[in-house]
Amino acid sequence: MWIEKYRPQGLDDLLSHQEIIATLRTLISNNRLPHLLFCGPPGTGKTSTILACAKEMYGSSFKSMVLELNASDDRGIGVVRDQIKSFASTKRIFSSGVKLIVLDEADAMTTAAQMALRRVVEKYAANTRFCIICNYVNKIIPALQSRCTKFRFGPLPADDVRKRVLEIAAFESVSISSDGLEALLILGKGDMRRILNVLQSTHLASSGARGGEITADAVYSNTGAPHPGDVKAAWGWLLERTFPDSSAKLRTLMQDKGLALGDIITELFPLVSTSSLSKNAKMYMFESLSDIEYRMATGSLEKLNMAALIGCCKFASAMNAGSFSL
Amino acid sequence: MYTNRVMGDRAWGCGGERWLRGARDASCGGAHAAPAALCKCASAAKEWNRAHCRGSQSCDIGQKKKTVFVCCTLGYNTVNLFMSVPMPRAITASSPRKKKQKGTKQKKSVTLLITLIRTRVSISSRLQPVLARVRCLCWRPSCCAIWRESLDLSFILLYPDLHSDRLRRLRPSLGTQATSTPQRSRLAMADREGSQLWVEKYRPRKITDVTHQDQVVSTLQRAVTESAGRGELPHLLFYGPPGTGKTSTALALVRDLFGVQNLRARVLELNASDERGIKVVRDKIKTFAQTTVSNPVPAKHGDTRKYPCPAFKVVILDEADAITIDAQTALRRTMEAHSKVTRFILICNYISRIIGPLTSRCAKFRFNSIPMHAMMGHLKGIAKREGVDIADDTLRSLIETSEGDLRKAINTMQSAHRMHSMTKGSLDMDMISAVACLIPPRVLDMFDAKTAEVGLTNSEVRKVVDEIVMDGYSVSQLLSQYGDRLLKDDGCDGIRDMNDLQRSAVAVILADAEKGLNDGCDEKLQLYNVASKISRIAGMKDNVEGLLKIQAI
Repeated sequence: MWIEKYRPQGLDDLLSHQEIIATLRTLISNNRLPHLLFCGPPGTGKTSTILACAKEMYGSSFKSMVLELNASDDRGIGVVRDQIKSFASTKRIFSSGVKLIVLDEADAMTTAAQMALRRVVEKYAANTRFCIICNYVNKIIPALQSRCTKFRFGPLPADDVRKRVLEIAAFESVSISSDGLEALLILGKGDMRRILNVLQSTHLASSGARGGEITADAVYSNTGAPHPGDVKAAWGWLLERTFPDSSAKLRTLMQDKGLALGDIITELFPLVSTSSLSKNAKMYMFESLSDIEYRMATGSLEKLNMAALIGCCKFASAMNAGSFSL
Repeated sequence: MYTNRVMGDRAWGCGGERWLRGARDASCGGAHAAPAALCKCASAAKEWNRAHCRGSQSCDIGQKKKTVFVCCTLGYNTVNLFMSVPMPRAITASSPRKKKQKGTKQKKSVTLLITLIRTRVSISSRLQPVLARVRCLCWRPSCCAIWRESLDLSFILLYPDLHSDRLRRLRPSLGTQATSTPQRSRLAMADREGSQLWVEKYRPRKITDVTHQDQVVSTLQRAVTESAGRGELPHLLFYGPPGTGKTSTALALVRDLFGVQNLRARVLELNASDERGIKVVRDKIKTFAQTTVSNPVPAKHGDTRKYPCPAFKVVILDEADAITIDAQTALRRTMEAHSKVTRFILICNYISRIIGPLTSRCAKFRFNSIPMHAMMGHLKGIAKREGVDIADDTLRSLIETSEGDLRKAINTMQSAHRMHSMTKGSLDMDMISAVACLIPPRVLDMFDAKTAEVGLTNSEVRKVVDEIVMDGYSVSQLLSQYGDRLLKDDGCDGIRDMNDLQRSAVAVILADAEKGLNDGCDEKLQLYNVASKISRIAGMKDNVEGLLKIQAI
């Protein structure tokens, strides 16, 4: 598991988010750590950051000073009242300094438990700091948010990710072509964990068969994501060919490359917005695409929705040619 | 006991009795003979029903009840028929009532649950994973027109009890050790009778046996042969349409990794039939994931294969899209924290139903629909070994109807084979479509021709729809097959006369109606809607604005 193997060990290893790390470092060295609230999309280093901080702060006494609770632990109101409170209220005899409670995946905590936490956070501030980690900040009640210093972890910038991926590739002796690297970055969308997972599985797949180099094609086929070129071609057919023609083309494409309609639709959105269709036609396309996506999400038949997609494109091109509108 | 009441009711008359007698005969004929015999007697019931029952309300069972389940336990020589009323809960909690028999140990060979479901709500949301594993399901609903007429039901399913331990007993690939000797001998006996499911019998045992999924197979094969020994397998997420080999691949992978001897100690398999709420994730999965691995058991004498048996365990979560969001959230950290000792394999149909943090933790593998030639080879192999006489053309159309779902194709073939094992000669398409519950071309032609007629009046549309629904054809099947014709542009005069925009409008309408059905709308109303809209579209050849409006409503 590369994602565990290359998890950053200290604050220096952390990728990007320079301001956050610098701020945290100053706070730690001045012994003025506030309560923390980390939020951001998955795979951007929230858990890694706080663990690295804790290691830096406590060193060998890490285990006795840190309580880590995540969604796999029961975290109802009972736990807040018993476990968290008893950990927060006691002092260690031989070690000084504040203790740390990490509440990972806090957006899964019940509101009642969060309510109960409000007072605990304030009351034991003298010897305990809380770090609340979540993906969706709106799932944390405002009362807790206002008690913490909020740090937002955005998606990782491409340059930093590229550097790290190349480092890891060199370390694992994986050869990766430049277009493969770019495809990896596009698919990863700033999620380091996903990028490493894709890299590892693609490496597993390709090192035997194709001389070991990771190319864009290998990345796309390994993740099952549609290749941008394919979708572009499909978009051309959808607009220009006749109904039976484009349906045949689309079906063979999906069959050969193993694409799912849902993936194609997600990829079509940017193409539609940059296309040369008229305003009305574009609006119609967006509406219809989201309709189809909604139907697919509730488990409708892929076949009929594919037909609907072709139909919508036909209407869009008719609207583009004439001056029809809804 | 409801049985007597049901038997005594007028609606059951001769048809019902024949139905029951058939079921009883079926119960003596081994596991797989049963559905076939049931099909036969059900079609007898249908004939009877056509003659006697149309339009009349002769049966008053459960008229006001929303949903009615009929469970039918087929013992060696008993038939218990009883009805339970309220909720789809009966599907998962389907432990049948046991009837003690003196002197015999074999209480029941196979439990069949015949489920009548009024609305499709329960189908779309709760049953889909179960449905995918249904064996001989769906004889045409018309087979049980008795029920439909009197209770206004639209579905009849028939499937073996999916309770996990019983499933495992049926599934020789996992946990054969666990079965006790009498069970094993019974399994062997069942095998002799030929009643074993072919899907299980021909389930791939090694990764390299998996049909068609080359990309996945080569990746995983490398994982087994090279790096797994060093503990380098990522968490895996298999997704793709049903019947493409996801579960088979996962099972074959763990067999290749650990060997049969170690499966019980190293693998935890949970599927939708097991309870998988947040409690299970916190207790069962976490406990399994936390404990360290035991030393591998040496291979049995005579087993010459070498297994890498790496130092980790595997949790297989089948049908993971049915796991609640809460439970998925709870899984996030478990997957990470215990990744040294435990790897997860998540299997699902719809990746959109797995939360983002989970998918980002796994290496994703998409399983593609299996193409014609690969299916052809596989089915031919099975047909040869089982002695099924089937022509290439029939096989081809069988594959076409199963839409890349290998399990469906094999099941259909087995059911058709069973059903017609008495008659001489090879299987033909009529037999296949009777078992697979397809809509015969003539009905589709009728629908197409009628709706394409310009200026159809309201009552005529109603007549067409009524005829189709009365015959008990499934509307979503009709929409799907009609959609096929639309896409492939074959054999339909009505569609051929349409121009591109008309077809487009029809396509959008079909998709909309199908979504409606999925959400539990009334079949008849949706078909009225589709039929009347198509007939309006047929008259709007050059009226682009009108077409746009019709499909946008």
